[in-house]
Amino acid sequence: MATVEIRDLTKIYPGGVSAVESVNATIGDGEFVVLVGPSGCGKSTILRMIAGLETITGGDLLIDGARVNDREPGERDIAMVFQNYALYPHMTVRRNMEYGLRNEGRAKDEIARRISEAARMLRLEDYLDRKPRQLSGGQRQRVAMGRAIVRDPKVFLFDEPLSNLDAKLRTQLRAELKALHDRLKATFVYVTHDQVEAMSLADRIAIMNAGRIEQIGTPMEVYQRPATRFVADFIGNPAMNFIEGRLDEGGHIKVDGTDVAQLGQAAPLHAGAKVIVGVRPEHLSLDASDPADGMMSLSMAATFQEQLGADTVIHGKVLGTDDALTLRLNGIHTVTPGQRINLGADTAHLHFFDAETGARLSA
Amino acid sequence: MVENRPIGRALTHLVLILGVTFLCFPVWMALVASTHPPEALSRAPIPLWFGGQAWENYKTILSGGLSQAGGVPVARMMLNSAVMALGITLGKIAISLLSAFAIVYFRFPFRMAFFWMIFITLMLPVEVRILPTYDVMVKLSLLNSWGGLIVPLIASATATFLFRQFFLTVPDELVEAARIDRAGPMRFFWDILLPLSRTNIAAIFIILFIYGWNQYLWPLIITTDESLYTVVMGIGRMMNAGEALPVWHLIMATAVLAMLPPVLVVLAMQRLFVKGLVESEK
Repeated sequence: MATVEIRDLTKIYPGGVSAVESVNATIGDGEFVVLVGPSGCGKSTILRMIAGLETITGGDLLIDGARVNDREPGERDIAMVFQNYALYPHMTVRRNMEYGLRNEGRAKDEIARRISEAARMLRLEDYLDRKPRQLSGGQRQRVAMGRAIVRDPKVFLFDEPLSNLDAKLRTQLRAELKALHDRLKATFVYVTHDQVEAMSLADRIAIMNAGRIEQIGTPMEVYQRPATRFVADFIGNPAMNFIEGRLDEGGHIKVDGTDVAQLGQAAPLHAGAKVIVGVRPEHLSLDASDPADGMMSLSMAATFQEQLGADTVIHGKVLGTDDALTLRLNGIHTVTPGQRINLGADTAHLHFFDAETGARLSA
Repeated sequence: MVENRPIGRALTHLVLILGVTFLCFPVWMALVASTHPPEALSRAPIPLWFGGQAWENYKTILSGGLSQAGGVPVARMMLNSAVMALGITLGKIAISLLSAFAIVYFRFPFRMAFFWMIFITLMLPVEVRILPTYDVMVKLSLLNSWGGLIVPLIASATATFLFRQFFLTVPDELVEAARIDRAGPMRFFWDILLPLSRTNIAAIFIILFIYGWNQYLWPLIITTDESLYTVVMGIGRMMNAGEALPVWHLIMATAVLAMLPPVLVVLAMQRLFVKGLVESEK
């Protein structure tokens, strides 16, 4: 059980390519933090720097208050679960799990006790004498977790552990992982590119882009108050709709000449600046008959629909523009291509971003 | 690819049978010749079926040896060959495993330069460097010794290269997992890399053992002591034994015996070898 503190962590590769730029974060004891972002955003690099598999080219890494920049991975008291499991193929499940403990020189009975405990927790008792290649993907990943659990480390690191599994198994193992965290109450740092995984597992999510953390917050914080346009776009499925508007003298935002919202006084923008209005597909409704106070109204031309059973996702364009618009409705709806749909959205659900910097404007 | 036409099949089999006959005929001749008295082999129709003197011929060469060829019993020569071939094989495997390990898993100055130096020596056969090597052996006073027979042949660019290629296919995550599991470099080598290389080692063992067993020129140069003669040299000596007629029945018996150990090695290692080719455990 431990905290992880990252101060100005930087990774610049020998060729001069910078993968991680001055990242700061503090991960609390027993916290489940998920690093999420598109590929190449530096999330795995951060994880590998915490593990000690990548050298740190700038900044400090503290585990439980002690600076561990120059310690070998084995001396950092961490355990890692890899995407492709990284099980030793020639060893049985039991040998795989006890390998680290043997290298630490633990007593035989202690090793046996820890293995049987972990095997029971992960329902691997019947597979202890099998080789990894005789196991299914889900079982292999459980062995990899078992290998981490028996070490009883200060920090668990997961590098996209569920990415090689099929969708159903992924959901199942996600639940198991969450239960495991609740039981172990250990510090988890988890990397994924899958935002659903991030939302469902994390205590806090760190969304990364181009070597920087864009926002750290609870899943609901990043969903409800995305700090940047990037975060707004990344979190949520289908992705948020963005419509370009302009700010007028009175602080009103106008889209296509219609007034959609009033921006707070603190807006750092001058009149005439471009503003991006964001609205999630699930916050758009067909209820546009009365553009009353507190409602934004909008029209779209539908192009196609995805009927998912519980929901219907309608894709189209904002009428008269080329901006794509997605709408998510409960239940079954049918539209014909080209059909005009009038939409409304509660202004409380609108997000505003500076078109230049992508930063969030107002509350 | 597999066509089911009778004529095609017949033709395929004909070609295969011809090929096999062509390959096996000399071996058959050696087997047959080793069972005849000497006179039978110097007469016009060379016998194509076994004679009755197998026991005597093999007993002569195994125990007594051939007086014209120094009188070293073939059993002794077989032992010498086995020691040399095993020494070369095991030495080569050990050294090339370690050098491939160094080249693949460690970052040190001039790493690629060393790799290319090893790689370039692939193109140099033993014969090219035979004089300087001899000179070195003389200065180390390793003439007429096991060391002299084995050491100069113990470095192998081919095996190093093959092991390097194999190590490159081992996923990096295994190294990383081992580092997290507190395994140092040598422990990783012993506990993980070596067991994973098992099938590759078997394949290379076969190739290198046959290479070592068949060495002729180098043992001929480095040894003058008859007790260190190898069986391949022995055959050569028997054929050039001065004025006397070559004793074909005994030479062939020796050749048959000399063929046995490589055949046994191939048979013993075959399963592992094939497994190495088929099994794709990562």
